Amino acid sequence: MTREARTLGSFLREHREALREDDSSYSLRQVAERVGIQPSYLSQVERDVAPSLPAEETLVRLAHELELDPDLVLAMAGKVSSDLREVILQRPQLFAELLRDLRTLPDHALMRLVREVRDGDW
Amino acid sequence: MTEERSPDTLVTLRRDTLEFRFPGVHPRARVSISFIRTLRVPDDGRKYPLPAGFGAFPLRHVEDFADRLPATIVERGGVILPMYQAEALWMSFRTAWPSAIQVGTGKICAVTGEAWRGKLAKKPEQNYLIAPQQPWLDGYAMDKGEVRQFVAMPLGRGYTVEEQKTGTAKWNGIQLQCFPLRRAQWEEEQRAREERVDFSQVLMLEDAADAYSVREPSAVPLGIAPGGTIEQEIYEDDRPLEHWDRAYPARVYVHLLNSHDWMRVTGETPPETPITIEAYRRAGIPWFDHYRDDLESRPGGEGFEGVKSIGAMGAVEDPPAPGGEGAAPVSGPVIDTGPSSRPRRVRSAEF
Repeated sequence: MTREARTLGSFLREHREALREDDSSYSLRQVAERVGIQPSYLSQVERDVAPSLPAEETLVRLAHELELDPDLVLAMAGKVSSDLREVILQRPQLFAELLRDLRTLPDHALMRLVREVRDGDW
Repeated sequence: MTEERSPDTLVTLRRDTLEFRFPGVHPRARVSISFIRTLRVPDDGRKYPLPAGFGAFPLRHVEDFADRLPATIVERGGVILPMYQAEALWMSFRTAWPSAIQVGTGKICAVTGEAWRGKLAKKPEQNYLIAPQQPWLDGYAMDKGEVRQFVAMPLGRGYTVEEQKTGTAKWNGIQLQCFPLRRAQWEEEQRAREERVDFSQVLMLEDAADAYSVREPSAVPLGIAPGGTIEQEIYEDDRPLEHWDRAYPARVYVHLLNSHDWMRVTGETPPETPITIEAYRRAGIPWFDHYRDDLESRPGGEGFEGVKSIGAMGAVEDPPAPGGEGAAPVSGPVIDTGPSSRPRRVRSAEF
């Protein structure tokens, strides 16, 4: 598994422009309007020159708008979503240990740890 | 020792969304399905455009509340979902991987009106939806180009489709089953894709609005019945059945709990009910339209012959809408989400 050394800004811009190839409503201006921020600010975010990164709520809206996973966008922005933070804070040491232990586990093994919706008899 | 491989199917619950994954097919083979709170359109003989969504219904694992749920629900597994009597829902299908989706209520297929079959079929009728072409399903496919809205109604009075078709309320709830496109077929389509439209549209919904009028908690067991008419196409699948990976479908049973039982079982307050049509009109909330002229629309399911809507049975009385006969009296804009290759993601509103 590789970690791509892309910045949040270039990542967002790349995705927005890929979407714009099919649909002109993914212009910088229209995306900013739908997300509720100024186009100039989105431009700064995409160029990684914004004085501060958008708040969690805005990043989640932006992720949805650009068809990206909100957890991925938040992680690239150096943030942990508030619901995850809440989960970790309930048992911080256990979760910290668990995450470190799981760090090198391959995907197929990790997938066996996720909680499935149990199917029954019907 | 053989190399450890991924499970073939995986269904998880994430933020009130069911995630169907097929890691045995491809890491990208996944479908997200959520149930969206919406306006119940009047059952007044007129056709309405697609109403906006007001956020997803909460979903919880059955097994988390096994000691407080009836044994039949625990045996069937799956998830629970709270609804108020006469509340409506639509289903949202988000996927970047072509998928065939079967939907049933009370184990009656919502596409054909016939008894639930666990297998995909095209004969005598196609008994599934195709995603991502079908981003939403608002009701029973009773006629070409229109559906009868999914509405929660009390069991035991003959309103639900299951009761109308079988005379009993044995199964209730909502049944879902997904089949991914076979990997080899997907790869072949990818190769040919340069000339074609992008199917990787993903539909996103915004979070729930939170200011609706609250109704009294209901303690009556609920099932899904056909309500008012909404314009919605069900698309014909132009692939042969063999292109779908039918070896490992993933399925989920969604049990409806009335608001009273939901509070008793989960200790949570269910979302307040969506707005009335009067409030919807006053607030100027938009309506939506999704029409793909590049796809063939299916006729209504033959099994729905003789099935009546709740309005026709006198179960609900909707106030007469202004504007007289003819076109549905909608106010506010109707947003066209098609026929572009990428339907607009947002079909939601705040109130």
